[in-house]
Amino acid sequence: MLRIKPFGSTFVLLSIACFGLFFSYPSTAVEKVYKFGVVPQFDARRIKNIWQPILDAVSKQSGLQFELLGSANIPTFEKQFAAGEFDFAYMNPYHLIKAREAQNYQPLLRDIGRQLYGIIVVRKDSSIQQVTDLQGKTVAFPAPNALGAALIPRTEFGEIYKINVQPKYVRSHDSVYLNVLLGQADAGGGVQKTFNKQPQNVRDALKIIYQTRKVAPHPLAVHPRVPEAVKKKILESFLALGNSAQGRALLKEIPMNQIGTATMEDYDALINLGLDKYFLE
Amino acid sequence: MSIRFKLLLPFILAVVFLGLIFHLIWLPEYLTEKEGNIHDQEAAYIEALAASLIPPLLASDLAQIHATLDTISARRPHWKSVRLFNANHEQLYPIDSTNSPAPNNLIAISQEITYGQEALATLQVALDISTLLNTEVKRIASLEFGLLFFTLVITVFAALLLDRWIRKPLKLMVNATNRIVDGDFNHSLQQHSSDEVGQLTKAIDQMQSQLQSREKETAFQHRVLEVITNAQSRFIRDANPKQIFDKLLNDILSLTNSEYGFIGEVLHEHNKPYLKTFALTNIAWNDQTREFYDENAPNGLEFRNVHTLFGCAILTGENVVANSPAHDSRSAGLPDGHPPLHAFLGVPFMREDKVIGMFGVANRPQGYDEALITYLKPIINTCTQIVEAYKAEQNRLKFEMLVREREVRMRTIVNNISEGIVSTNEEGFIEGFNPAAENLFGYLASEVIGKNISILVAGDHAANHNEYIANYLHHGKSNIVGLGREVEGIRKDGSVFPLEVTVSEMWVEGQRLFCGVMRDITERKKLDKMKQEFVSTVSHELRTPLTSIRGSLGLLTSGKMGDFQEKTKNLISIAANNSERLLLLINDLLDMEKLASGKMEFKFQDLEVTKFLHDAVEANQGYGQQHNVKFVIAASDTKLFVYADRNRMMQVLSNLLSNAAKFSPDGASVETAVNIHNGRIRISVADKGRGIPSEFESRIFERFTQVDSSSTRKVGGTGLGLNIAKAIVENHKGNIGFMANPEGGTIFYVDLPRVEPSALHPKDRLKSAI
Repeated sequence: MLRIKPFGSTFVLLSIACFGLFFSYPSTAVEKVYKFGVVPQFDARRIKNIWQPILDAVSKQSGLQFELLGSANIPTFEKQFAAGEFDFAYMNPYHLIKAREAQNYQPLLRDIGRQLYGIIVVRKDSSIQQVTDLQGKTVAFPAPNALGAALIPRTEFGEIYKINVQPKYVRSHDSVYLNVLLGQADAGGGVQKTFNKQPQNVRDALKIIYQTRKVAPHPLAVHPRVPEAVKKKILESFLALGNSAQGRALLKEIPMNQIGTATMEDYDALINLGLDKYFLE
Repeated sequence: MSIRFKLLLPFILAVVFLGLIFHLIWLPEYLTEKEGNIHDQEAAYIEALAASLIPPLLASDLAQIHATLDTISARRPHWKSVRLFNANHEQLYPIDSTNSPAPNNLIAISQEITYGQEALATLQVALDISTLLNTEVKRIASLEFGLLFFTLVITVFAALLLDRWIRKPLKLMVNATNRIVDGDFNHSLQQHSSDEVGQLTKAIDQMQSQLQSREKETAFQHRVLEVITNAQSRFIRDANPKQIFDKLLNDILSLTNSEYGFIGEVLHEHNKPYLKTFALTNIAWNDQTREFYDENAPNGLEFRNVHTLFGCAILTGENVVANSPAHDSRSAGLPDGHPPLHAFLGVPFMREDKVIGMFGVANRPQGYDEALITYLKPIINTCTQIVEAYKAEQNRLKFEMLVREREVRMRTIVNNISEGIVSTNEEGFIEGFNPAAENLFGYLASEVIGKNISILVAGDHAANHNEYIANYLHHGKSNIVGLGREVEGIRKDGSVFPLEVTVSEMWVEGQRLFCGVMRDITERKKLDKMKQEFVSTVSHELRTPLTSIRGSLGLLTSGKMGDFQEKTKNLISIAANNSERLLLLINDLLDMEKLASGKMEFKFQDLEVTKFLHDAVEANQGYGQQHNVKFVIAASDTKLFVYADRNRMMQVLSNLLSNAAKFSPDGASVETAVNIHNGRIRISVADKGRGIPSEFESRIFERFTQVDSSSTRKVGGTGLGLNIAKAIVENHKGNIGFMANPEGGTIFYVDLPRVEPSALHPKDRLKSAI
């Protein structure tokens, strides 16, 4: 007697379902998705909150598909761009130099309304008045390679002022300011933008004793494998964002107040500073 | 208090009780325990928090620490203060370094943060548990309110259910019961759930229907009683049976819902029963029947044919229920034009197994049954009683009429009788005095009634009369009651006259009366005296010459005067015989006269009976020989004595022996005997004659009685002997009688009182001793 096995019938049903799905969405499998990386200056969720709306807007504008790739920390991010995993990546200027060396990433866009520089803060009641007073003192930095807050100041301490400080890496700009404020460090390295964001009582209790030299801020770099037409579309789309209030509001979160085209020349000054010596692997 | 509230009360009380226990006992304990728990939880939380601070502490990531503690503090408002110090007791958190001590109501928890052996920091938290507890209390309060609300909802729901399941049905039942009390049975509750309330409802419905049927029954019984009462009162008030039974019939028709009917009595003619109606519904259906009804109904119609439905009741004494008369074999059919008969009930009135009447009703729409008969039983009984009473009344009227007739007749007789009739009571006071008595005594009845009888009786009788009555009453000794007693009456004018009184005793309505029939015998006395004197004179005057004639004839027949020719001899012999006979007759007449006048004297003495009998036989042997009859003395007891007059008893025995010799056949023997019979001494004489014809038996001891005249001629005799013998024997307190001789003929006997030896005279006693 012929028996129809349950498995057999289930298999037939599954086959039909898969067959239907396959023919319903024929183009999804062949669409090019561009991988997008962002330097993990903030935690991954905040990065996603900032960047996903922007990518959605650009995608809508350009008709291109993006995938926002996460990076656990900055070293991972550095390994990822060194391996060319990203088609596009938002990174700090020093990373751009490293990325160009490794994969020939080229800057595409940047905030053209400002420049990046570091600051040194001390408690308002501190006796330290200038950089040279920091000889032998404990200076808090967010991380060794933070460009504006640590790498440029440390480079300038060693190369220009020839002083040695006791660095204390406290993970974030906020920690830097708190360490200084609560007397856990004699001074701290930060950037103007993060200092401005501190609560009033924090800012009131601190004072800026030094500003480093200024460089172009974080670029959006593109891998050379991305076709020119795509690059162009992306560029136009981002620039279009900068032309709308809504787009600007999104871009401001990066932060990128005034978006514009970036070139490699904008970052030549960094290459000459000798940052490599102070870069900690 | 409503049932609903009563049923809910235990539940409400339980809830209140549980609420109080919950609130007053459980809640404080719970809060105390909770406080401990919160402390432990907070300590554990702070410990965990401290551990989470180790990495940022190690990395000096104060921002991270601040962010964490800010967040935690914000989330835990009961944390009134959070402070973090490093190993050097420098404050790491918060930025504000004001060091205000924790208020007293706060609980301070301090947690050391170490990494390995290295002390990193100290976390100090000041807690306000009361807030947490308040929160808990609020939570519990809301729980309580929730429970209370839930209880309220349950209570309301339960109340609604109770209302629906119990109170509403109960209310209906109460209403139904009130209606029942008011006598309204027409509302069924109808809602019969399967629970106890439903069962109760059902029970009330059943009770209602039972009460309804009982009320109907009672109403019917009341109606029955009313009918009975009416019938009885009508019967008492007005004995006109026509009206009583007309009304009764109407009542029965109305009660049984019948169309027509009758009530009648059962009479008999030639032992055949028939029905005569007292009341009959007029169902006349044409002129002829209408005329017949009008003419006969008032006096009762008679129905002689009893082979009918109603006749069945009369013949069998059983109730007749025929709900299909047309097909009933007992039915004799209906005359043409008779109204249709759909159903019939015939009920006989029974008295001691006899049918004395019946009623019949017809055309009850639902037919008749035994139950109806049972209900009608009291009416049936009443009908029976009334019919019976009516019949008794009829009999009484008949009897009364008869009595009245008799009384009239009697009064006429009494008034017209020639004898005076005087009746007295036991005390001798006169109660009745008829016209003849008025004539007799010269008193009017009104003058003597109520007076003692003694005023009518002279001399000793008057004095002793009351004593006589007393004796009679007490001892039954009769001095007055009896036939023909002669006394002396006394008239109103004081004159005395001989009076024959026959007193009889009678009972009238339980009272003893004496009735005296009185006859003035003055004339009779005179006649008697004249007769006695005449007889005496005549006897003496006849006997003296007759004795001379007899003596002379005796001389002639003796031959002493010489022989005569044969023809002459015969004539002399005839003359001698007849003179002898004439002398006997005269002697007997004289004895009779003596006995009648009480002048015969008796010389009583003790007499040895056997010897006396031998003497008597011997003395009469000659007479026996004349008739060729032999007297035989049977073996007799000796030493038996009587107290008698020897000569008179000899006269009696001579009479008996001579009679026996006369009536015995030639050559026969006459047996005589002495023996004791019933304690008395019997002397018997038995002949072998023809016996006494039955028609003479009653008269044999009367005067001038002989069996027939021809025999008189043959055997001779005066016809006075037995009468004289009877008088003599009775004077000896004995009696004389006869009976048929089993061997043929007759046995005459004389019974005399036996005298005991102790009663003998000394001389006779001496003889009996020898």
